[in-house]
Amino acid sequence: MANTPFKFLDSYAPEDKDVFFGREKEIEELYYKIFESNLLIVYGSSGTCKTSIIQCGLAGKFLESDWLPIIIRRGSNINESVTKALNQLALTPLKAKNSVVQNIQSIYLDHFKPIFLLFDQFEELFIFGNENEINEFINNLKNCLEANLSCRFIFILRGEYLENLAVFEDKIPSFFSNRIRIEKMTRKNASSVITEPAKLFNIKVSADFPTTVIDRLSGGKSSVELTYLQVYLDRLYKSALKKNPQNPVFDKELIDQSGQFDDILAEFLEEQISKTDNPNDALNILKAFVSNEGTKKQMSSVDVLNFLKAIEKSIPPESVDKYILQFIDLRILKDKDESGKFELRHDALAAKIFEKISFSEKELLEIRQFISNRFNDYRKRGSYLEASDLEYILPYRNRLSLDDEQKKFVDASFNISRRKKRRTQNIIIGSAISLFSVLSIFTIFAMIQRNKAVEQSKIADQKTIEAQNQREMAEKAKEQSIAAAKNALDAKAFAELQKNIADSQSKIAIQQKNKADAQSNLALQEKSVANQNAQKAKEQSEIANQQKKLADEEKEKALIAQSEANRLRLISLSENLAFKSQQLKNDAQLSALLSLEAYNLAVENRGNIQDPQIYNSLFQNLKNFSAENYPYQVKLSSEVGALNVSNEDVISLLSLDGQITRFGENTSKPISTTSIGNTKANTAYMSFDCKTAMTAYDDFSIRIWNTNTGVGTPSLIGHHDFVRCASFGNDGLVVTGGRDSLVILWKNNQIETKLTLPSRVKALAIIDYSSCLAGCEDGLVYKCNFKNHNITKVLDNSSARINSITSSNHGKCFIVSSSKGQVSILNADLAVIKSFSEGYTIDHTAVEDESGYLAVAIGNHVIHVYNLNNLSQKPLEISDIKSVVKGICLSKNGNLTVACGNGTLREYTVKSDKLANLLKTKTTRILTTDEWATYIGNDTPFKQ
Amino acid sequence: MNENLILAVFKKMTEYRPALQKYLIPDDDDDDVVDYRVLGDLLIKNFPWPIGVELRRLFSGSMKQLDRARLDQIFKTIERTVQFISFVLIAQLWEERREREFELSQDFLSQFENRISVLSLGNFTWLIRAICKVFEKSETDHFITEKKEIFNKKFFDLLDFWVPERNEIGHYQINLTQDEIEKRCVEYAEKLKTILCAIAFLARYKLVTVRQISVEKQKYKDAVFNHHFDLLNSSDSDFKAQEVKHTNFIDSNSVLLLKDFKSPHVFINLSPLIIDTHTEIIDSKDKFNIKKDIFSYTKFQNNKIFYVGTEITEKCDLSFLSNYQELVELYKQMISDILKQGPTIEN
Repeated sequence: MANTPFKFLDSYAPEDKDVFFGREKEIEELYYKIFESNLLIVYGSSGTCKTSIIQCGLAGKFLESDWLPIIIRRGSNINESVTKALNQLALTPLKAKNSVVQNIQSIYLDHFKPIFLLFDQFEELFIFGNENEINEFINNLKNCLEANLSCRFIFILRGEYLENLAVFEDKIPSFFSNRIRIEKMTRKNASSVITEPAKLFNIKVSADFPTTVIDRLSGGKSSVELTYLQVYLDRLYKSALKKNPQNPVFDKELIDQSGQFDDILAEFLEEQISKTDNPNDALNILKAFVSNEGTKKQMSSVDVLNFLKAIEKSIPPESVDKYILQFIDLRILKDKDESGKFELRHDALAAKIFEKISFSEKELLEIRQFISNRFNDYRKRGSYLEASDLEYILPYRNRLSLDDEQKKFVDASFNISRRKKRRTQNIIIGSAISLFSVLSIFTIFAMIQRNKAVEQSKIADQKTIEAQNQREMAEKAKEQSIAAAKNALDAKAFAELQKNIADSQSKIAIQQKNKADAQSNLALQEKSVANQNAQKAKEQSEIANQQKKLADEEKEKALIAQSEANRLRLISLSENLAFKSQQLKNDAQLSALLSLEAYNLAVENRGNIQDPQIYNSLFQNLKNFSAENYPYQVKLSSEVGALNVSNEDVISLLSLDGQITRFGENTSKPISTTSIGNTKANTAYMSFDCKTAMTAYDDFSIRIWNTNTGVGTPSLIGHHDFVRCASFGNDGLVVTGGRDSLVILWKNNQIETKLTLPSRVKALAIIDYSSCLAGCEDGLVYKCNFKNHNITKVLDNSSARINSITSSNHGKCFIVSSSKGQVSILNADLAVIKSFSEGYTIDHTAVEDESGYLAVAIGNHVIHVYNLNNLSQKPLEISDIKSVVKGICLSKNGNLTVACGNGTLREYTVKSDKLANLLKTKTTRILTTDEWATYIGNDTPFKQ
Repeated sequence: MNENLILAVFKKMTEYRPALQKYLIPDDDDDDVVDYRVLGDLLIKNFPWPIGVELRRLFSGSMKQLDRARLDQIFKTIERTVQFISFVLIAQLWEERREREFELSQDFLSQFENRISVLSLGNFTWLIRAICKVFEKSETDHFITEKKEIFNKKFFDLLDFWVPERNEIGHYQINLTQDEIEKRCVEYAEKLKTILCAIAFLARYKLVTVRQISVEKQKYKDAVFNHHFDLLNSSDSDFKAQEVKHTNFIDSNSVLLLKDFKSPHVFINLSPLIIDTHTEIIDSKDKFNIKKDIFSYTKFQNNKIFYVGTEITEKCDLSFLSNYQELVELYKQMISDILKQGPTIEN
C-alpha cells in the first residue's frame, strides 16, 4: 500500500492503486479498449493524469502474470530508447543484430507475460525528433504489428500534438482507430480524490471540505486541474499532520489557515526558489529545463552550463550541481535518469518558469537555435549565412557563447559577406576610371580640332561660315568635352568617395582586429584561470588521496571490528554449545563432543575457558562418562578434623582419631600416615605448610604436633571453654580462639599473650608475628595487637556471626565469611576489596595466591570457586557433593580437595583445560557434518 | 524451473504432432542448445486456450519462485485442465443421449444433476471418471479417441490426488511453512507434468470459434459455406483467423473442438459450457461491462447461468449478452436431454 495519501507531483505507480480514485470510468474504458487492438492512443491535456491512469489504474486490472509494462521516453532518440529499454528487461541477452521484432519476442519468451510498451510523453518525438527518427520508428512499429507479437503499444501524449500522429497513417492506416481521450477531472470525481484516500489514512474530513477545496481550485469551472489538486492536498495533509499527527483533520479551518491559493504552483515555485541561497541563480538554472515552446526538457549538468552561457549568466559548475540537488529535494526536479539527465516534475512547472524567461533571453536562445539549425544546414549543404541572416545576428554576435565550430561558421559567413562587398566596390571603381579615360581622349580630340579652325580662319571668308560652323562645332565639341570632363570629375569624385568608404571599412577591419586581439588576451587570461583551476584540482586530488587514506584506515578498522564481532559470535556460540551439551541426555558421546567443541571455540577465540557454563558442561560430561572416576574419591576411615595442601601438592589430612594421612595428586592410595595418638580430639587444625597441626579437646586443652614425626606437646591449658579456631604463623607461632572470648598467642608451648574480646571467638587468622584477625559471634572482626594489646574493629558484619577467616598462603588477602553467607575479601592492609553474599551459611573457605582461586563451601553442599583476579565473573559451581563439607583446600595447580562428612575425600580440578583433557580421553569419535550443521551451524567451517 | 516439465510434455506432444519434432533440434547459431522458451511457447499454443493461458501464467517470471503464488497457479492449471476435459465429455454425453438410446444409472443421474449446477474441482474429476465409465460400459467411442486408452484408472487416480490436497492447503487453519510450500511446489509440478503428458494428444485437436458463416451460391452450382474461424490456440487473445470453405455448414457462433480443418463437420460443440464473447457487438450502455474473452461455465442458479473468464480475471456479468437467454435455454435443454427419463438401470 502507498505510504502517503496524496502524491504531490509524482505519477501513480502500481503500488499506489489503493489510493488512486476518481478515474474509475476511464480505467474501465481503457481496459475495454486495450483488447480491441494492439495499438491504443491515450491523449488529453497536461495534468489529466494520463500516465497515472495507465501505470496505476490499468495495471491494477491485470494479474501480475498478465502485465509486463515497458515504459519508454524518447530521451535523445526514440529508437535507441526502445532498444535500451528492451535490453534492460532481457533475461536472455539480446543479440546486437536483432531487429525490434526479434527483441520483443525474446523478451516475451523470457517472461511469458503479454508486453505493454508504454510510450510516455510521446509528443517529445515531434518536439525534439527529426524526420529520419520518426520514419525509422514507424517502420519498426509496422513490422511489430505485422509480426503478431504478444505485445500492445500504448501512446500517451498531450492532445495538442494529436495531429502530428497523422504521419503514422501513411504506413499504418488503422493507427487512429483505437484511441481514448482523457478529460480533465470533474468536480464529482475530484471529490472522491479527496475523500477516499483520506478514509484509508484515517483523516477526518469535514462535510464542506471537498467542496471548498474544489471551488478554490476550479475557479468556478466544471473541471479541476488535477496537478493543482494533488499539490494542494499534499500541502494541506502536511499542515494537518503538523497540527495533529495522530488524528489529522481536513476542515475549513485548515484551508483558511493555509491562505489563498490562486496560483498554487507559481507560489509553490516561488517559495521553493526563495529558499535557495541565490534565487536569481536558481531561477536561471531552472530556465534551462524549459523548451522554447514552454514544455519541459531533459538536461544534464553540462547542458545546463551551456544554457547559462547562452543567456550570459555565469554560475560555477559546483553551484549548478548544488542547486540541481536542491531542486530534487524540493521536488521540483526529478532525479537523473539512466542517461544522466534531469527534468522538471511537471509541465505545469515548465509553463510557470517559461513566463519568467525575459524577452532578450528568449531572443538569445532563438538566435542560438537559429544558428544551430543553419549550422546543420551548412554541414549538409555547405551553405553559409546570408547577408540578411548576418544582419539579424549582428546585434547579438558578441553575446553568443557559441562552440568553436559554430563560431568558425559564423565568422566565415561574415568574411565571405565582406569579401563580396569589396568585390562589388572594386568593380565600381574600375568602371569609373575607365569612363574617365574615355572622356579624356574625347577632350584632347576636341582641342586639336579647335586649333585647325583658328589656322584656317585667315585663309578664307568663304570658309568663315565653314570656319564659324567649324567653330561652332568645335565649341559644341568643347562643351561636350567639358561635360565629359565634368562627368569624369564626377566619376573621380565618386571614386574618391568609394576610396574613402574603403578606407573607413579598412579602419573598421582594424578595429575588429583590435577587438580580436582583446578577445585573444581575454582567452589568455581565461587560460591562466584554467591553469589556476587545474592547480586547485590538483590540490583537490591530494585531498582526495588523503580522504582515500582515511577511508582505507576506516576500512581496516571495520575489518578489525568485523573480526572482533566474529570472535564474539564464536564465543557466544561456545557458551551456547556448552549449554546445549548439558541438555542432551541420551547421547553421552555427542554431549561430550559438543562440550569439547565449546571449550575449543573459547580457546581459539580468546574467550574465557573458565566460564562457568563451559566448566560445568565439561564437568557434567566427564561425570556422565565415569562418575566413579571423577572426581577422584578416597574413602576415609574416620572423621576429618583438618586438611591442607602443601607447596609440593601433598594433601595432609588429620582425622579426629589421631591419624595424619598424606595423599599425592589424583591418587587414591596414601603416600604416608603418621599417628599422633588416638585420643579423640574435639577439633583439629593444620598449618599451611602442613608441618604443624593442633588438636583441641573437650577439656579445653590443646596439643600442638609435628606432623612429620608425630611428636606433640603436652596438653596446653589456657582456655576455659571450647577452642573453636586456630591459626599458625612462622617460627612456631600458634594463635587460638575459643568460646571463652579469649585469643591466646602460644609461643614455645607457653602462653605469650592473652586477649579478651567482646564476644566468643569463632575464627582466627594470623596477620604477622604481632597481630591477628579475630572473628566473633557478634559479627565483628577485630585486629588484635599482641604487643600493645589493642583490639581494633576492622569489619562489622553484625547481621551474622563470623564463621571463618582464612588467610591466603602468602598473606595477600583474608577471606571473612559469615553465617548468613556474606563473604568479605580484605587485602593485606585489611581494607575490604570485595563483598558478596552466597545466600547460605559459609562452612569453609580456601584461598590460594598463586592460582588466584577462592573456594567457598556453602551450607547447601555446594562449593563456589571464584577467580580473585576477576571477581566480577560468575563462580564455578561444584554441586555433586551431597554431603556436609568438613574441610576444603586449594593447591597452586588448581586442585580442590574436599573432605566430606560422609567419610570421603574428593578431589576436583577447577581448571577447564584439565577437564577438557580428561574428557578428550573418553571420546571415541568426532562430530559428523550433520551434527556440526545442526548444533554449530554452517557459518562456522567444519573441523575434523 | 520449468524446463523439466516443458521438455517432458513437449516430447510427448511430438508423438501426436511429429511436425513439432524439428524444434527439438538446436539451431547452429545457438551452440547446440535447445531454447526451452520456444518449446514452452509452443506448448502454450498447442494446448487449447483455457489450458494454454494458465500454462503461460505458470511459466511467467512472477511464478518462477517456489512460493505460494506458484502453488496456487499449479492448482489453477489443474482445475482448468480438468474443467476443459470434463466439458468435452459432457458435451459428447449430451450428443449421445440425443442420438441414441443410452442407459444411465439412477446414481449417476442424481449425482450429475447435483454436481453440474455448481462445478468445482471435485465435481470435475467425478464427471470425468463417471462419464468415462459410462462410455466404457456402453462401448461408446470417445470423440477424442485417445481418451479411451489414456483415461484409465491410473489417470483417474492422478486426478483424485488434487481435491484433498487443495482442501488441505485451502483450509484457513493450515499455515504452510516455506519448506512445505517448496516441497509441494516440486511435488505438484511433477504430477502436473504427468497429467499434461497424458493429455498431450489435445495438440491434435483445434479449439475454434465460429465467428461467422457466409454463403456463396453461384448460378447452377451448389452452395459453398465460408466458415470464418478464430483459432483458440494462442499465447494471447489475438486469435488467428482462418477461413475454410465447405459444402456443409456447421454450428455458428459457438466454440467447437475440431479434429481437422479439412473435416470441419466433425466436431464437438461446447456451448453453453464454453462461449466466446468476441463476436458480441457493444451497442448499448448495458453491454459496456461485457469483456471480450472465452468464458467457461461455473454454475446455474435462480435461472441464471454464470461464467468465468480466461484472460479476464475479474467478475463479469454476461446477462446482457445478446444471446444470453439462448444460452440459458440451451443449458436447460442439455440437462433435460441428459437426465431424460429413459431406461435406467438400478445400481
